[in-house]
Amino acid sequence: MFLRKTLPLLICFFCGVFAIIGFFSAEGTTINTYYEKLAKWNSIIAAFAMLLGVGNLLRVNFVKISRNHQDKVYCAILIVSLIATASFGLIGGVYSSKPVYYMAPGQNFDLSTIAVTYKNENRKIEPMKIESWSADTGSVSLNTYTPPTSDFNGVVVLWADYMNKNEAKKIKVELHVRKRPAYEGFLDFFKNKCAYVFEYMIKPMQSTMFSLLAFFVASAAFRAFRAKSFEATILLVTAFIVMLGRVPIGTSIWPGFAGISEWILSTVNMAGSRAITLGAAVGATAACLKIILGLETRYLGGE
Amino acid sequence: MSFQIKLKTFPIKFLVFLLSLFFFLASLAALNAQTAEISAQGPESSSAAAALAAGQTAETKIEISGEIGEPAVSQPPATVAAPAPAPEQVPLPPAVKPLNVTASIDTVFITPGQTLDLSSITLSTQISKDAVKIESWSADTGSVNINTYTPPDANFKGIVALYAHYMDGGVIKKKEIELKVRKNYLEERLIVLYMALILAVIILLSINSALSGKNYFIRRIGGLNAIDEAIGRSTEMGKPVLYLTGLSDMSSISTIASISILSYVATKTAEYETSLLVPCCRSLVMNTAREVVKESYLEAGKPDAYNAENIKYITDDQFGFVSGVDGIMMREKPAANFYLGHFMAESLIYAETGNSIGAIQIAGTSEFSQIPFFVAACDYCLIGEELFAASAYLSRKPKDVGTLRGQDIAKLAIMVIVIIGVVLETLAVINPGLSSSLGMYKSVFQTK
Repeated sequence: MFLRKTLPLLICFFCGVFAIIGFFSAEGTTINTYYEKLAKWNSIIAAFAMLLGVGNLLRVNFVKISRNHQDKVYCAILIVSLIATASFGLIGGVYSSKPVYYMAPGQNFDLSTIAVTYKNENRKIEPMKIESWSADTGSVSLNTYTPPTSDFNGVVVLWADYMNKNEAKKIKVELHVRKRPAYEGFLDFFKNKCAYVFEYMIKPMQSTMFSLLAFFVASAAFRAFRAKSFEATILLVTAFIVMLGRVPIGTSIWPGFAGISEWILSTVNMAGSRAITLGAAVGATAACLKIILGLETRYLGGE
Repeated sequence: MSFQIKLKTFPIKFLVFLLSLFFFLASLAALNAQTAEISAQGPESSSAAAALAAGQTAETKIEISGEIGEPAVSQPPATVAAPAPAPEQVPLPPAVKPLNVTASIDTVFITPGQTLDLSSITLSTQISKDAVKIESWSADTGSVNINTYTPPDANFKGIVALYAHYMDGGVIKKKEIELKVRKNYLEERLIVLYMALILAVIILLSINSALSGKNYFIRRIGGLNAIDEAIGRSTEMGKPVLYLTGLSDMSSISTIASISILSYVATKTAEYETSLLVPCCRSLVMNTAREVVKESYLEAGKPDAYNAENIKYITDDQFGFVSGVDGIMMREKPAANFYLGHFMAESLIYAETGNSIGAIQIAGTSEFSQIPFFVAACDYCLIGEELFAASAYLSRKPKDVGTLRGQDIAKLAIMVIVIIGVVLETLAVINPGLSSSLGMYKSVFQTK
């Protein structure tokens, strides 16, 4: 009982009171510093809790496979994908979108290998003309970078100068001058795969799910805006005016739609929004108080 | 029959085959590229290979900032570039590695009217920690000398960029330090502290009053009355109940409120012996939900009906979780869906998928932007603070009812403050002489 109820409640009380004191303490004071650390602990605990989730995910899916469940193939795909993606990230590390190049000491770097492209107005990728190069150390021409000395080791910042709408602009490129052990290339393989999974698999799938919203908004609006009652009719008319005010065709029909739409959003809608937000804030404060004082224990299980 | 089975499993096998093929080809392609990157030593004709032969390797992504267009992924050219003009060697200063200087503090605070003692700020090199001499100071506003910074005026509040100038290889360089001139936290947040204390006192007095036996009226909340009806419907149809606690972790008050309602829902599903599915977006929420549901089943006297596998973690990713939950809805066809907690853009996807399977849907969130979606697509919706009031409504215990009364008194007080503000604002428009009293009123309630 002590470990299941009393101790969590005590921890909750002390953390809650400490967080309140920390919030009202001046920046730079010891209490405020520890208050900020407390917030970081939350992230650390959440990161460790991720292992719990992964463990559960693996267990549930392994059990399904072992029981010859009808969805066992999906379970297998999930486990393989999980392990593959985690391996890419764990071995290769975090992928940086910053352009980083490497060269061995005592060599010259061929700048023509750095191809810079951009998307034009038609979203086509085109090569961009580099006018000149500059570097924070060493010497540089249009095609070649030479480190200051033959035994120079370190990071060089290269700037590619280009023109955009008659304005000179620069792109920063990092060049690491050092001997690269072979294992780093091996790690790069995983790093690139990790980035590949995120860029070309996860992101498109997320976008696909998100794009479903467009259709769902239409179907939900169709149901909600049927003029079944007086309130529903007001909703329909208001929505119609706001919609017309937000699209070009509405203002073409009558320019006043834009103003009415803006008034509905900034006055009528905002009043409702503030009322709900204030109510929710009071509710949340009361709930926090109950939790800190141990009056609310249902989240620990039981009454 | 066997033909039917084959038909059913064929797409799955085909999918597995495609997936394996994809992984194999992707790995092969990546391995090829990597091999070239590591071991291209031969007399290849391409400039990329020539560069690699010279010991250089490259990561392929480059970010382009500016107005020229969106950043694009670029690959090193595979063929020799067109002959370039004769290279012009640009002589640069001798190679001296720049100092990597750090300041003893990145952000400093002073209150309006104060001056800042700059001697307390020191610079040092990041690696050796050697002190770097500050030659001079400059600031984007106010006046500054080597020892002191003075804001432009005594009432000045804002952010000032201070620059400490130091010598690096014969060149003057500068390190930026942010200075915030503003009231201290306590002064700024004093009104919040007072409000919170008043609210706490009101709630505690209300709880005390309720515990002493006084009965308080709680207005009817349709969504909460419908919980029993929804679970009953699921039981009659022999279908499970689906419960979502939202996207947030246990640090969110909405999730904790949702877990409290889950406790009630689990007790009912245990009594009716109906299956309860709780897919979770956070592993901590999953563990908490398991504990809560298990206790509820124990209290209902049906510990055997509890199935831990029904409360499972899916993923932390927002839309990954959505697709997982949608999949569960389409496969399990729950008859009652509860969406209570913190929801974002995914709210309508749940609600419309739930609607398509004919489930009775009860939603509730304090996230204002998602309430219209739930109102439009669900049968019942708890708006704003109703989510936090739900546990009191369902349990009717004196401490919960007392809290609810305390909240209502606080809301009444806020309404009075708002009405006074509106009246004063209106009077100030009619009679500009009143604007000074309005200013005082505003200054009490304005916080940053």
